[in-house]
Amino acid sequence: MRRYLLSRVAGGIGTLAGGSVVAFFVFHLLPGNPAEIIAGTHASAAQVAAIQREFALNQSLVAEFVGWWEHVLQGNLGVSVVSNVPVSHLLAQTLPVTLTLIGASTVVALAFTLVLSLGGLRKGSVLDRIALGWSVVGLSIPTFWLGILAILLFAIHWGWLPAGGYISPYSSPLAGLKSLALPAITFGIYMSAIFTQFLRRSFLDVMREDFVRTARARGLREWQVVARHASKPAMIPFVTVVGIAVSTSLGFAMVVETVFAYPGFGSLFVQAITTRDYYVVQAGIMVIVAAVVVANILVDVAYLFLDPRIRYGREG
Amino acid sequence: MSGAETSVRPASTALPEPAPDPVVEVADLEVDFAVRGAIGHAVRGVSFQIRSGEAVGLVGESGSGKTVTALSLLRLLPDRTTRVRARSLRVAGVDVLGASAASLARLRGGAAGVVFQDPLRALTPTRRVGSQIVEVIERHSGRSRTQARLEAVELLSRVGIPDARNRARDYPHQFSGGQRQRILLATAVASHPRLLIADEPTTALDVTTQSQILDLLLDLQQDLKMAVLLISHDLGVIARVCDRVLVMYGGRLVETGSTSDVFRAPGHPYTAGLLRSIPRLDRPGAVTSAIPGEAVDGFTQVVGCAFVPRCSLAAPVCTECPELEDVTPGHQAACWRSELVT
Ligand SMILES: Nc1ncnc2c1ncn2[C@@H]1O[C@H](COP(=O)(O)OP(=O)(O)OP(=O)(O)O)[C@@H](O)[C@H]1O
Ligand code: SF4
Ligand SMILES: [Mg+2]
Repeated sequence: MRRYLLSRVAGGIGTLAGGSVVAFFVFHLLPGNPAEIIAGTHASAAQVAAIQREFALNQSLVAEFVGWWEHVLQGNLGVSVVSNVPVSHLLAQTLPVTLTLIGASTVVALAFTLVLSLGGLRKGSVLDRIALGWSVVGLSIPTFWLGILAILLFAIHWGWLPAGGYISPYSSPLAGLKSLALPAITFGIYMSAIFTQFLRRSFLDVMREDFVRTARARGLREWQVVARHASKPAMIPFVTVVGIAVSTSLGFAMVVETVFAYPGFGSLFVQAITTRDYYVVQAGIMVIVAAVVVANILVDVAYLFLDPRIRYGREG
Repeated sequence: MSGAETSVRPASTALPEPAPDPVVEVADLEVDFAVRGAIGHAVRGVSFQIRSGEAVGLVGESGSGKTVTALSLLRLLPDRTTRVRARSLRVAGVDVLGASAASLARLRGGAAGVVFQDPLRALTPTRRVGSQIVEVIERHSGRSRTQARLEAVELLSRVGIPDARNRARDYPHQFSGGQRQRILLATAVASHPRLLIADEPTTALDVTTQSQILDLLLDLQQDLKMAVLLISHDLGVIARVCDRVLVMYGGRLVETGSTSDVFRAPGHPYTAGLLRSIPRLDRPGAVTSAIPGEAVDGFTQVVGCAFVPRCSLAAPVCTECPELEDVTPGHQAACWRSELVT
């Protein structure tokens, strides 16, 4: 069990290291050198040279990479070229906003999913059919379209909810939740379509297992069969899917936050790319990679709880 | 039970109190199932009884309907895709087809325990083996959790799990295949049922382990005075455990009788063929089926005797469907020409 966790953490560190190489070299792969890219197309040679000096971009690549890592380990992620604010400050400002959004969306998605997936217990039941339809329709609606539709209806037509912007639900709960509602539901709907598809499949598979029949043969009532015997095995593959969805949700946050003018990490990252904000893009890539790594480790920890075969190794 | 005195299995000669009421009473059981629009017939009219304390074997090739018959007894088949009909289907006094969900749940695991073939898959992998026994005791014996735990540990050591007190906290994957089948047996008999249904309980195990599990099964049967319905395609297993045998082919019973009668002088060519194909210990796995031709499945249209295409004795009369008839008293076969069977 300890070996299992150590190997997962080691794998995560490897992924982070790999990600850092990508984050660092992404600007070096583009034609021209980073200083020119940062300076933009209309910059003079003097401006480019100044930027090169300022960002120490005139050393060898390896020296530059090592230097960058030294700074990163000291918590210094550079300064935004565009706003002149330290990147760490920008992240500290935007990440909580995005994490709140992702958390709320996940809650919405799981709520939808759990209700719908109970349909998976009885193949062909009404709920099961809704779940099946849902997982197909929900997946094929583009998130940005759904977001815009939600704004048109709930914000503009009915005026129930704000069209965009963010108010911290931690300082003013009601206004905060209202500002969170549309993006979280839009995002959550997409996630729940994925979740529903997998959880439904997973439950249908497990309910056919021999041990479920055995549990029924013990005279347990159906809800006991599900709660005691089917739910954990059905969750095992599902947890992987939740992990993947949550870890890739930073990517979707870009779409949702852009549509809802949400001042989160997604918007920051999109802006940084369009303004060629070198250090912000680098840090952003690192954050995305770190999110994937952390989510994967959390999934592995969840396995430990769900699956005794991992917790206690093979033969006893 | 006329053949009991001469049964292959000596222990059964002295059943302590021959309770007369049948534990299982099946009349004209038919099971149909729907697969992609087509209707198949897994069981096509089966009648038999099992008396208290009696061990009955159900034998037949793969697909003959043994499992479906056994599952019907407790209505464990998927409701949506199967239809079970019978003139009478009673288990431990419960009218299975008319029973409410609650009385069905009391019957399952209460008066009737079940052991399935594959012990690797029949125990819930994410639940401690102790809890899987405890839940049966709690459910059916109304004991407190603490009391049920004590009984579960006792039962585990009774079925031969060493260090039961500690092992009760382990998960199924931490046991060997044979041990898992022992644990499964423990869960099935935890409520002291009147009937134990064992569907190929030893098929997945190696020969030595098989034999130990059969010993345990016999032991438990005598201890708890249970009736047993033992399903197997291995006549050797049946001979060792059962007083009486039911032979199934194409969803019908083609022969019934005391194990000794049926084994000594089979009345149906199919049974005779099965007897010739008993796997031999000196050549394990050498024989799967010595009967030539393909078995009937649920979708085969059957007119007359289903065995015609594979039968060396087939004659014009066989285009009519033979019913079970006495070969000798208490020994019946569904064959027009049973006197010719060797
Ligand atoms: N749930 C089901 N859906 C469709 N067909 C089924 C189902 N269960 C059983 N059958 C069919 O019913 C017939 C009898 O199957 P059954 O499992 O009872 O055979 P068996 O005698 O137990 O064979 P085996 O020795 O392989 O276990 C087979 O033709 C099988 O294909
Ligand atoms: S009835 Fe005819 S075909 Fe059927 S088993 Fe007897 S002899 Fe063979
Ligand atoms: Mg079977």
